[in-house]
Amino acid sequence: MIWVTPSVGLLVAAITFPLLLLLYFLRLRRQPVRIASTMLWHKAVEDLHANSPFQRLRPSVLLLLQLFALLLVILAIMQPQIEGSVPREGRHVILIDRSGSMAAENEDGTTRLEQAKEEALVLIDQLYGGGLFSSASGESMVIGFSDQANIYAPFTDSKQQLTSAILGITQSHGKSFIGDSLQLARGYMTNVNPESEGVSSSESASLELFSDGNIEDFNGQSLANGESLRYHMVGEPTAVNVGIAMIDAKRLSEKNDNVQVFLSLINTALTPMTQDVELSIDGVPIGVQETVIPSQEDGVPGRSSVVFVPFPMQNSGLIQAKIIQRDVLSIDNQASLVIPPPKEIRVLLSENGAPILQTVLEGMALEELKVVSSSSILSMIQEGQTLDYDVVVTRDIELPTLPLGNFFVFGAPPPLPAFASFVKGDTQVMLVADEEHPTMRFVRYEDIVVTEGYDVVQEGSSQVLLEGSSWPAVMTVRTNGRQVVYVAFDPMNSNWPYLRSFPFFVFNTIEYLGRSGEKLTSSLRSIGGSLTESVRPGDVVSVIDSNGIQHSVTVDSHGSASWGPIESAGVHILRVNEETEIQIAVNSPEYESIVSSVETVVIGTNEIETTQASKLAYIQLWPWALGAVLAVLLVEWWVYQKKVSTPLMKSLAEGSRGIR
Amino acid sequence: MSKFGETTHDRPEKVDELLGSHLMASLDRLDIVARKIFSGKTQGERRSRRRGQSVEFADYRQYSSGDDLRFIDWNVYARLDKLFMKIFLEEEELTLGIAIDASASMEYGNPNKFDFIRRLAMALGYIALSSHNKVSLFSFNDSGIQKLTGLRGKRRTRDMGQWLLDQLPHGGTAFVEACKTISTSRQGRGVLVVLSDCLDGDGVKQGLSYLVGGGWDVFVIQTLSPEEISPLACGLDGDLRLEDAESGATCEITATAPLVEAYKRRVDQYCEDVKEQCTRIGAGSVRVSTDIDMERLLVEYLRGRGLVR
Repeated sequence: MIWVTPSVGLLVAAITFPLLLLLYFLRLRRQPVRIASTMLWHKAVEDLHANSPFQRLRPSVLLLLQLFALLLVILAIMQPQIEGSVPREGRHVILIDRSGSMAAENEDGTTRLEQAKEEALVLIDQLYGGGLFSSASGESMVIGFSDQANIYAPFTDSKQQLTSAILGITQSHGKSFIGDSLQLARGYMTNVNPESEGVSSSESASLELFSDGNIEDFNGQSLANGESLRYHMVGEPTAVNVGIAMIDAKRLSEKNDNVQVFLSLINTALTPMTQDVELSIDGVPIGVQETVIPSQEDGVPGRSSVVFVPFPMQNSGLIQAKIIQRDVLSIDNQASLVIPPPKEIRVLLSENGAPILQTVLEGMALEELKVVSSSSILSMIQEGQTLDYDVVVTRDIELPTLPLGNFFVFGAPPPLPAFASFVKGDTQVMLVADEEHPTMRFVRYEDIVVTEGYDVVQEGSSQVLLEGSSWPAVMTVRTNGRQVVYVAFDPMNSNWPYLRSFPFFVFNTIEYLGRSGEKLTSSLRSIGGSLTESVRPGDVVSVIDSNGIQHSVTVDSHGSASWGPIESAGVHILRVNEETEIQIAVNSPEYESIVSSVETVVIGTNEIETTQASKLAYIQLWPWALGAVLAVLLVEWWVYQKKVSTPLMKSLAEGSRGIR
Repeated sequence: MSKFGETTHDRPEKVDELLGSHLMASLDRLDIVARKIFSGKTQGERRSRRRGQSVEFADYRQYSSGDDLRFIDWNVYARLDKLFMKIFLEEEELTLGIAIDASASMEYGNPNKFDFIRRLAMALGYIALSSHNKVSLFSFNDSGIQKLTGLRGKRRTRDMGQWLLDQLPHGGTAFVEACKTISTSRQGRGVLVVLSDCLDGDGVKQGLSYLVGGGWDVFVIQTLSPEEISPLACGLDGDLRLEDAESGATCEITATAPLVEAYKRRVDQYCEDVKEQCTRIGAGSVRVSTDIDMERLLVEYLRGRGLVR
C-alpha cells in the first residue's frame, strides 16, 4: 500500500477533524422529551460531569459515524494504491502494436488492440494516478506501430495527453515492424541541452510493449545500454486462425476471355480445418468450394491451394474470395482482385509506299493511330517521343537506333544484334508457323508467296514465328526493354496483303505487342504503401477506403494524385471528378494471419517474458473509499432520522420488570 | 412512532376498566392487614383492644424490613433462626386510607403511572370494602386535596371507582402539605396506603413523618414507570432536552450508557432513601413498576409485605 498524497490528506485531517468536533460541541439541536421529573437526571449529569467534552464525545454514534466518514474522505484524498512493480519515476515509451494481427478478437469480443489500449491506460493510471494532488512523475511517450511507426504523443507528463493519444490509436491491417519505433523513441530520448551547444545527453527509458508478439523484425533488434523492455502480451497464445494468404487470376490461353482464380489458404491450428470459400464477381457469388487446410507443423502454418473452375469474364470487374466460417481474425478471411478494363492501344505508323498497313490499322479499335513520314519517325526516335506509343510500326524504313518499346517492323531489319547479319532472300513459300503464338492465331500461311526479302541469319535470342521454305519470314525477339516482331519482307513483295490472313496477323501482332506487359489484374497495393494515379491537373480526386471513409487527394501540377499510407485491407476506390471510379484491391499481409500470441519475445540476446502482474499494480483505492463515505453517510442519515423522530417505545426488557 | 414516555395504551373510562371481574374474584379472599391495633367506632371483624389486653393470635408471616420488632416471635426465631411476625385476628373495624398522587408527574409512562395507581387504589379499596372496613380516598396535588371518605360496604365500590376516574393529574405534588392535611383530618385511624412516585425530594420524607405522627399505619407504594427505571431499554437515545412535567425545568443530556447508568444508580439510591425513611418512621414501603401484573402485585408482593392477607 502506498499513499500518493499523504501530506495533503494529513493537512485536510488537521483542519477538518477539530472543525467537526467543534461543530459537534456547538450543535445545540436537541430533541425535547417530557418526563416525570428531571430531578434525578440533574443529579446523574452532575455525577458524570456530562458537560465535559470527553464524556460527551464518547458514546455518540452520530459523531463516530461522522468521524469515520471524514476519515474515509481523508483516506481518499491521500489516494491509497496497491503497490505494483512499475517504477513511477523515469521515462517510459509505450509501444502499442496496431498491426493486422492485433485486429484478432479475444474471447470476450474485444480486439487485441482494444485490450492493448486498455492495459496501456491502466499503466498510465499507475504512472500518473495522482490526480490533482500528485507530484509529477517521469515523462512518457506513446508510439503506435505497424508497417511504420507513428508518434501519438511525444514525451510528456500530461496524463490527459497520454490518455488521448492512446485512445486515438487506430487499427491498421499492415505488417508489424518495431524497428522504426525503437529508433524514433531513441531519437526523442536524446536531449539537446540548449545552454550547452552541441552537447546532447541521452536518458534511457523503459520500453513498455503492448503486442501479441508477432513482430516480423524483432530478431533484428537489440536493446541499447540502460534500456529495459517490459512486454505486455495481449491476446491468447492458443488462438488459431484460417486466412487467405494469396489470390491470383489468369486468363486461359486457349480461351482468352475465361479467367481462372487461384487461392492459397493457411491454417495456424494444430488440427486440419475444413473451410468453405466463396467466390464472387462484383458482389455476385458465382461459386463456393470446400477445402481442407492441413494443420500447422512446428509453428509453420498448414497451407492449401484452391483452384476455382474458370469462368467467363471479358471486361473489368472485382473478384472477391471469402472464407465463410468466422474466426478470430476477419481481415484475412477476404481477398480481392481487380480486373482492369482492356487497355486502349496507341500506335505510331511510318511506312514507305502504298498505305497497306495504314488501311489495316485504321480498321482496328485503337485509341490513337498516328501516321508519320520516315523522316519524322527518325526524329521522334531521336527525341524519345516513341515512348508515348504502345506499338511503333515501320515498313521498309531503316532505323538507325531502336529505342525502348514495342516495334512491329516490316522490311529493313531493325538495328538489333539478332538481325545484324542477313542476305537477300529469294522467292519462297511458307512452310511452318508457330501456331501457339498469339500473333499467329487464325493466320493461314499456306497461300503466302514471297518474292523478295531479308534472309536473316538467326541467332539464339530470336524466335521464328513463320518459317519459309528458304529463310525465316517472321521472327520475334525480346531484349533489354524492347520487344520486336519482325517481318523479313515488304508485304508488297508478296501476295499476303491480298490474303485474309494478313489483317489477322496485323491485328494479332498489334494486340500482342500493345498489351505486352499488361497484367490481367491491377497490381495489388500493399498496406503501408500509397495509391498513385495519373490524372489531369485540376481534377478532383478522392479515395474511399475499405471502411467507407472518403479522403480527399491532392493532385500536383504534373497530374499525379497520391494518397497514403494505406491502413486497411479491402477494396479502395479512387474517384476522379465524381465520374470515374477506379477500384484498387488491398489484401492483408500473410504474416498477420499468424495470431497465436507469443509469451516470450527475443530481442537481441534477451528473452523477455510477458508481464503478468501489470494489471494488479497500482490499483486505485480512493473510489472505494469514497463509496464507503457514501455508505457511511447513508447510515448516519438513517441514524439521525431515527434520533430526531419520535423514539420507539421499545418493550421493556425482561430484567427491568417487577419489583425492586 | 410514539415519543419516549408517552402513554400509548387505552385509558380507563369506566369503573369496570379499573377493576375487572377476574381480578375482583381474586381479591375477595384478601383482607387489609394492620400492623398496629386500632380502636374502631363500630364493630368489625377486628377485636378491639378495649375489650382486653391480649389479642387473639391468628397467624405468622415472614418478617420484612420495617416491621415492628415488637411483633416478632422470638421463640420461633430461636428454633428456626428465621424472623416471623405474629398476626392478630381479632380487631375492630379498620379504616383504610388511600392517598393517590395526582400531580402531573404521574401522567407519564407506558403503562401510565396514574392509571396504575388508580387501578391499585381501586383494588385495595375493594379489598377493604369487601372485608367490612371503612375506606377513605385522598387525591393530592398542589391544588389541594380531593377526598372521598366514609365508604363502607361493597356497594360503594362503584362510587369509589367513579371518584377515581374523576381525578385528573395536574400541577405539582405538594406532598408535605397533602400529608399534613391528611394527618390532621378526622377520618379515623387505620392503614394509609400512599400511592405516589415520591419524586418530591425531601418533601416525601417530611410528609411521611406527618402521616405517621398523625397515627396512620402508613404503607408507601412507590410507583415508577419502566421509562424511569430502565430508560435505555425503553428507547431513550440521542441528544435530548428533558423537560420536567411539573416544574418545566429542563435538563440537556446525551443518552449514553454511562449517563443512564449514573441515572439508574441515582434512582436506586433515591428509592432506597425513601424506603429507609419509611423504615425509620415505622412505615412500610414497596417500589413497583407500572408494568407489573396487578394480581401478582396484590397476591404475592403486597401479601408478602404484610399489607394484605
